[in-house]
Amino acid sequence: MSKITEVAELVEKGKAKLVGAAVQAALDDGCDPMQILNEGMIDTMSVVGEKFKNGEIFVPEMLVAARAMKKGVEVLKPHLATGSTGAQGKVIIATVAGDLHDIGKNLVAMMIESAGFEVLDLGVDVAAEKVIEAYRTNPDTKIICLSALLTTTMPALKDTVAALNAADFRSSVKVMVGGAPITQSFADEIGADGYSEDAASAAMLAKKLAAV
Amino acid sequence: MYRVLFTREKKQVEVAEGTTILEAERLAGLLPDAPCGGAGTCGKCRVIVNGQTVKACRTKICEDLKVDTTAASALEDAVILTEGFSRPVAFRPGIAVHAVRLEKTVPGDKRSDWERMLKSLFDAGVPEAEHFLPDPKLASSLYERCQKGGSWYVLHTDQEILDLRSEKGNLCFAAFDIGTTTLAGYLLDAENGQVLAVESRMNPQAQYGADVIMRSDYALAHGTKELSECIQREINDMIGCLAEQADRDRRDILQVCVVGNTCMHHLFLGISPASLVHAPYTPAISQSMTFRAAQYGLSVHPKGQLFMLPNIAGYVGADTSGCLLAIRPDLKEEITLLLDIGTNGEMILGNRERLVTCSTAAGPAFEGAKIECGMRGTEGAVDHVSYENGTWHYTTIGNRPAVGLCGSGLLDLTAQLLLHGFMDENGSLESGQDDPKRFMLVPPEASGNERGVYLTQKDIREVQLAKAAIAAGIRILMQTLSVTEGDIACLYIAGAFGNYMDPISAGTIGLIPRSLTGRIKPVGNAAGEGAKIALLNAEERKRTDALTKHVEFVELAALAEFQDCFVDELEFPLS
Repeated sequence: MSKITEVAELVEKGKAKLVGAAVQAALDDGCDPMQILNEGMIDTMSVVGEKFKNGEIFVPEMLVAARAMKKGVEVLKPHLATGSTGAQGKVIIATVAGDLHDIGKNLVAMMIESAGFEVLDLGVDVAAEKVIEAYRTNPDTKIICLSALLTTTMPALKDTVAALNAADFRSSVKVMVGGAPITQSFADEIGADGYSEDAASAAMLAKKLAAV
Repeated sequence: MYRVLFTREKKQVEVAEGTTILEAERLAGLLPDAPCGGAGTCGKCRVIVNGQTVKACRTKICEDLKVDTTAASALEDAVILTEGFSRPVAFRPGIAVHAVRLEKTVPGDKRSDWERMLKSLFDAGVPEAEHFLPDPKLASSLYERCQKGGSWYVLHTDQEILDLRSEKGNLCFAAFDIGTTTLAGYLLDAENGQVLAVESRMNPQAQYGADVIMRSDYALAHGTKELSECIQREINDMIGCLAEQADRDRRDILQVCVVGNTCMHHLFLGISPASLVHAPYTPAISQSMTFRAAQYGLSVHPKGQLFMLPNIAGYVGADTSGCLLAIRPDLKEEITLLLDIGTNGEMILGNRERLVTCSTAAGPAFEGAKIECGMRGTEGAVDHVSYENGTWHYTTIGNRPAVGLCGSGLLDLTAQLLLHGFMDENGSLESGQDDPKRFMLVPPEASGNERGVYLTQKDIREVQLAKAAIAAGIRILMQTLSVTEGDIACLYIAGAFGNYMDPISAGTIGLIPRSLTGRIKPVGNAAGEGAKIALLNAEERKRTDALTKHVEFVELAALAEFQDCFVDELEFPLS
C-alpha cells in the first residue's frame, strides 16, 4: 500500500492518533506534500462528504474523519508552500448571535477548507457587526457562511443576512446559510444566495458560488 | 397510678402521680425530642392534652390522660423517613398545628382577640407567633370561637397563620416534577410524611413541541400564556386525582413544591424563556420562590403555598436542585458523581469542598427517539438483551411480544454487539446477517408487529452521539476538579433510564467510565424526591439557595476542549 493511500485510509476511518505518523512516513518516503494533501486528505474528505450525503455514513464518522484530517494537516503544514492552500479564495464562517453551537459549523468549515478555500472562522455567538467588520478587513472574501442551529436563533440569522444585504459591499460577496432548522425556502425568504443541507453539499455549493 | 394513652402511637402506660408527660413518653418507648433535657426552655416536647398544647416536660400527670403527640411531631420530631431511594431526612415540615383554647376576654383587657390568640400560641412554644400579621378573614371567626369555648386549631408556618379550624383535617402536601415529557406528582401526609398517592402523566405541552427549544420557540412567537396555562391546568388536575386517590380534600393541601428543568420552570410560572435559548443561555430567575398556589392556578387550601426550588444555570434547572437535595453531595467527604440522564444529561461532581455541574445535549436516543425501532419504556419494549453461546436472549416489558427497543434494551444490545465482535470500536456494524448494516434481534414473525425489532447502523451512530455527549461531560468535570475515575466513590444515576439500564452495559459502551460500573447507585426520580424533601423538611428547602449558589457551572459550549473530548468519546472502548 502506498504511503498516501495509508494516510487516506486513516483519515477516512478517523484515526486521529495515527494519521500524523503516517503523514510523516509519507514525507520521509519522499512523497510530494501537495500530493499528500490532495490525494491523502482532500479527496478523502470529499469521499467522506459524499458518503454522508448518500446516507452511508453519519455525523460521528464525519467528525472523526474531520479531526483526523486536521491532525494530518498540522504535520503537513510546515512542508507546504505558502499560498498552496486556499487557492479557491477566502471564506468567512460564523455561528450567529445567540447561538453557541459550533460542531456543525466546524464540519462545514473543514469541508470547505478541504475544497480548497482559505477559511476564516469567527466562532460562535457572532454579532452581525462582527461579520461585517471581518469582511471589511478581508475584502477579498468570496463567501460568507452563516449557521444557526436552534429555531430560536433563526431570527438572528435573518437579521445578520439583512445587515449584509444592506451593506455597500454586498454585490461583491456571496452569502450561504445553513443549520438544522434552516430550509431552502427560509434561505430564499431572508435573501441569502445559497443554502445547503449538509457539510459536503456546502463545499460543493461554495465552489459553485465562488466560480460565478 | 394513672393511665396515659398516646393516641397517635396507640400506646398506653401506667405512671405514678406527678410523673411528667415527657417521662411517660419515654416509659412508653416513644422517642420524644427534648433537647433542653426537660428544663422547659426549648418547647420541642409540645403535646396536646384535652385540646390544649402543653410542654410535656412541665406537665405533671394527676389524672388518666389521652395525649396527642402530633403537635410535636408535626413541627420538630426527628422521625427518620426512608422513602424510596432518598436519603433519610428528619421530618420537620414548614407547617405546624396547634390546639388553642381562647377564654372570653375579661373586662379591662384591651388586647384584641387576634393578639390573645398569638399570645396563647407564643405560650405554647411558638416564639415566632409574635410576628404573625393579622388576617382579617380569619380574625372574624375569633369572636364566635371565644363564645363557643372549647379548643380549636391554628394552622401556621413560621411566618403566618394559614387557617383556624374546628377540626384539624387530614393535612397534606403535594410535590411535582415537571419533565419535558412526563409529569410526576406525589401527595404526602403532612402528619408523618408518608406518600399517600402517586400520579404520573404526559406533559400536555407536547402539543406545542416535543423539546424545550420548540416550546420556547412557540412561547417567543405567541407569548407564554397558552403554555403556562396548559401546564398549570394539568398540575391542578393531577392535584384533584391525587386527593381523590388518597380520599383527601384538596383544600387540606397546605404546601406544594414544584421542580422542573429551567424551561419547564419558566413556562409554569409564565416567564419568557428568551434568555434560556439565546447565548449565553441564562435563566431569567434562579433563586427559589414562594407564592400562593392559587396565583398559579392550583386549587388547594386558599392560603396554600407554592414553593419553586432554585435553578442553577441556563440548562441546569430546579430539577437538578431537587437531585442535589435528594443526594446532598455537599455533605459528603467522598467525591460523588450525580448523573440525570434525559434529553439533556445534567451532572454534578464533587464533595463538601467543591461541586461542579454541566449539562450536555445527549439527545433523545435513550428515550427511544431517533432510533428506528426505538420506543418509550412501555409494554412490548425490549428492555434487556444478552448473548450467550451464540444465542440471543431478550426480555420485554410486561412480557409481551417485542415491538421495539427502549433505552435500556438499546444500551444492552449495543454493548453485546460490541462485546461479541458484531461491531467494532468505531461503531461500524457487521451483523453477519443478510444486511450486514442492520442487526435483526427479533424477526418479524416472532415480534408483536410486522417489521420485527432491529438496530441499524444509523441507530448506532445516534447512540454514539448520545453516549459521547455524556461521557465527554463527565470527563470535562473530572478535569475541572482534577480528579480521576478512581477518586469517585459513588455514581448516583437519576431518571427512568438510569434505573433500568444495566450498569455493565453502560460501562461497556463507555457511556460512563467502565471502572465506575461497580459503584453505581440508581436513585429513581431524584428530582421528585428532592421536591418531597423540600416539603418534609423546611430547613432543607431553605438551604437550597445557598446550596445551588455553591455549585460551579461549566459551560461546555464555551470550552474549546469539549469538542475534542466529544469526538474522542464517539469511539467505543476496547475491552
